[in-house]
Amino acid sequence: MPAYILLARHSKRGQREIAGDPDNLLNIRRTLEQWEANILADFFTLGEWDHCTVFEVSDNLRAQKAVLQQEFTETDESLLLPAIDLDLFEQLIRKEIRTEGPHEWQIKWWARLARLAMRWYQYDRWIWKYFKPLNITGSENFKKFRGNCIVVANHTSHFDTLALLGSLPIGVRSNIYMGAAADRWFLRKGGGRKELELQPWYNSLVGGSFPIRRGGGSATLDYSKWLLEKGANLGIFPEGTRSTSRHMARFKHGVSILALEKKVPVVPVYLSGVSAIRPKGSRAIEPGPVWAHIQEPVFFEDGMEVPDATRKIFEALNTPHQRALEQGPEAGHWHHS
Amino acid sequence: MATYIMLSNLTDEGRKTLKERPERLHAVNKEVESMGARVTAQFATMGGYDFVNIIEAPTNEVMARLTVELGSRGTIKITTLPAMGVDEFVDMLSGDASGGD
Repeated sequence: MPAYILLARHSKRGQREIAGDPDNLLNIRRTLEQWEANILADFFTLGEWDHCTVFEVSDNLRAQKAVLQQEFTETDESLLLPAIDLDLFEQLIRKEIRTEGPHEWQIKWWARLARLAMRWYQYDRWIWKYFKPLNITGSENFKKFRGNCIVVANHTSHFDTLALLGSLPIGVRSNIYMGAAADRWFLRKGGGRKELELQPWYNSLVGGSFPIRRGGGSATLDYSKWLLEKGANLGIFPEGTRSTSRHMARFKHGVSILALEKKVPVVPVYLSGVSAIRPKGSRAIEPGPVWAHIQEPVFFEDGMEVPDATRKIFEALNTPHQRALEQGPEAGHWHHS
Repeated sequence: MATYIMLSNLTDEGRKTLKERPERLHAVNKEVESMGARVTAQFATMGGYDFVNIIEAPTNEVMARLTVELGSRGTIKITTLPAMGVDEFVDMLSGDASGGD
């Protein structure tokens, strides 16, 4: 059972009641026991708090209800602290998630050749099996600029990577590297999440992915910048995680920072139908139609601020998203009329 | 032995130390014992405080020395509350009341 520590300060009324009948000091314990709490220790204290009770109860809701009930009677203020046994806490700290990568060798000719050879196994067979069919529009938008770019897409399913890669022209696809959450796809063996013990080198080589540390600050963009300098394309889901809502989540600023600094265009690809095939949190896979609507590239004026650039990218994906919500997935086409 | 509730918060330096050397959590207990006190229960908590320790010490002076010693490292901020078991306290108050009649 989870443990909690309740610190309480008696109200004036509570103090009067205790002075009148000391037995009232046991009221906190009695209230907690009404909610089936197991009292481990109970102290009257001097100083900032008047009472400290250590107890176990089945869940947070019961603990909170018990405290609320007590607050309305004789305490002025209380502080409920969910507690972890110190040994367990130490174990948790030691079980820090350890990741590996990025691997710079992934852009070398032999790595690209290996990726090309493994393409069917890694991606195309799943596209063929589950996307019935994969409808691609707007491929001509990649001809509107020269050089490398950042491809962004909305994110609702693990299968989005398949849809995105499957929709790209071969020239872009053969030189694109996909940002992937470091704590999920680049866990080192023994890194703390056994079910996700994949091989980081495999994801770098065959998947063409590179790790992005969530909440890693600007340093997490260093490798992305290096890839852009080397002429590679980047594939990023700017929402940062898979969305479960009908609305797109707020975009992270990473893509804008990269695009503004390296002066590369951003190509939004609006994906639809993927979440119906494998929604977030589900292992079941239901084949169905998927749409990948490649939008016009987004260019940025010199001196544009990062938040403005992020807004511009968001709008470039949100506009087809809103159309698709109202009129159906085909309406996400870039020059929809 | 008197009982004390020690509420503590890690400083930024303390968090760094804890992440680098989690074994420090238990090393501190040995230091507490070397000063004549004893940790009877210890919890990592979420909310207003990072740790709650229940400590037994022979005197206020020992406890004061302990808090100064631990606090001087700059890794934690400590609030110490002298404590007594509620049952004993209720008995004591009840005894006083009857004695006053």
